[in-house]
Amino acid sequence: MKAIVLTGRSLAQGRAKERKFSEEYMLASTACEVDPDDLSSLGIQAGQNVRLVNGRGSVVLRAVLSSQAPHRGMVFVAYGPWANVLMDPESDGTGMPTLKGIEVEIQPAPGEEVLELKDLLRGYGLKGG
Amino acid sequence: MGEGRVIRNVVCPFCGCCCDDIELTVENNAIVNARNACALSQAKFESAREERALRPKERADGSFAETDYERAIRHSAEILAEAKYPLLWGWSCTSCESQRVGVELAEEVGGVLDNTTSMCHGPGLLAVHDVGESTCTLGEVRHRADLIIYWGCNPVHAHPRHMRRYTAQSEGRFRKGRGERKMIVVDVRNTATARMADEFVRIEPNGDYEALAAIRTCLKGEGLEQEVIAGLPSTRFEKLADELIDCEFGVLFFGLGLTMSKGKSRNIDAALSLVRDLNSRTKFLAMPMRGHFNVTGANEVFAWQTGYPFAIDFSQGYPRYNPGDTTGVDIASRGDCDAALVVASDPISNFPLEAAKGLASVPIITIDPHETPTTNASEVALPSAMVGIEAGGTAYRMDGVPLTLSKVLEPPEGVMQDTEILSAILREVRNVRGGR
Repeated sequence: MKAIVLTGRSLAQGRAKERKFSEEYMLASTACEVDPDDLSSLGIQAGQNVRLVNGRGSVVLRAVLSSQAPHRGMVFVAYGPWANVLMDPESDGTGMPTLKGIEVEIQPAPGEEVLELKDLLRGYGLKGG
Repeated sequence: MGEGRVIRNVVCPFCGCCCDDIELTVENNAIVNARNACALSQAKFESAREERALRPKERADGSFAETDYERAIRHSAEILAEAKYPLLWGWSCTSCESQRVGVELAEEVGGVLDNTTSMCHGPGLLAVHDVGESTCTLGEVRHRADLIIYWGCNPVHAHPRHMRRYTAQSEGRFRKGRGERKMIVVDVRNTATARMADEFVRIEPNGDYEALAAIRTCLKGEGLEQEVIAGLPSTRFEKLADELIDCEFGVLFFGLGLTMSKGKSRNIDAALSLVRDLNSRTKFLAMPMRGHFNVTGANEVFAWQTGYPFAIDFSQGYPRYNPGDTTGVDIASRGDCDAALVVASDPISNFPLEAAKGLASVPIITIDPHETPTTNASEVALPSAMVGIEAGGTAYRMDGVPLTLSKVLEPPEGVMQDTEILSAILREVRNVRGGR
């Protein structure tokens, strides 16, 4: 299913953002808020995993039922290294990368694992893991 | 367990609201209660001692091992003195006093000095250069505003006390509370903030510029040719324009929904132009919802020292400003910098992956209170005291009002303050360069 991704601050992500290796931060930053009708279209239930893919990368996240629906064709993921796998560094001459409105393909991934932060970074060859 | 010491009127070092009414209870050099704090503030104060880095580390012979400050500062100075085009990034979660030293250091090493503005309201500042800005303090909003618009922002999650302290729910001298103010939210989702509004205007993603332009067209008395604009019937914008004109004192608060979406600086250009147009019919003001507690301070300090609020390139020996070219993400993505100094920020987590990879490919020096992916990717990591909790200083609230940050706890034993570390690196850079 095609969708666009919005990133942003969530209360849970903000509370944990200075404890990057905590479970709280991982839970907050890997939740993908999906419209209930889109969840049905994907054939999965809240709590199961989805894979978001675009030309820049691919990441597995945990689908959660959005409390801000209806917003079919749009998902929300809190700011963080998981969502940043998909984001466009192109700043269009402003300095600001494009962190909202990014096009992705969403696929059900109930058998796949959401990577922990250290594993995610190591997987991309970054020393920060 | 000792008896708690209560410290009043502490400024919160989380978001740009800089709430200055926090009451902290301190026992045995730990914060055990944070009264008046929002959920974000409470977490910051009460978990101040978690995931802390306590000793400097440096990478040598393939390992990342503990060292002392003297060696770490010397190593940092050598990297910066050697670099041809270092990026000095972060600065929004530290004090103005540290930012001031940062400017001096950037000039000394001929680097690029950029703060996290370029990843939040940088496009807004570009629009301010073009259009100007009708604005005010949050105190004026509290006392006088009868119409509050939140456009592309969700303060319930990002600035939880904004509404209660300064806008729709606040009690001012001339506007007594929620019943005397109208609140309109424009967003692409029915957010928690939208659900508290009198009116929610749901536009389609990336439709902001179109929507703002439609309202401006209506204000000028010109008809809208399209039937549907930004996903809404054009009549909705005619009604909205009438509501804006009808207020006595309106304020447009805008968030990253405008700066991060398609159009970026042009969206803010349209928003500030709308506010300018409205001032020919009524009183109207605009203000960005700044995220980090002292990102406004970074803009202020950098601008009064160099003439520019962010993205300042000293490589030619004088300050140059060219956002899109001299901004952190662009430099990291292109692989232009050959070293980086990161102060109170975590770009390996916050940059798009491609830019994070570019940054991680050069030697990084990080000054930060916590262990983060960026400290772990660094050549040198220097732990620092938490500004606003373990170190005092000055911060600017989102409306440009300077406030004094408190030191309420002693930092972990031996941990230095940002200002001390930066000053020591600056001295050592001068020694290294002078010795050549």
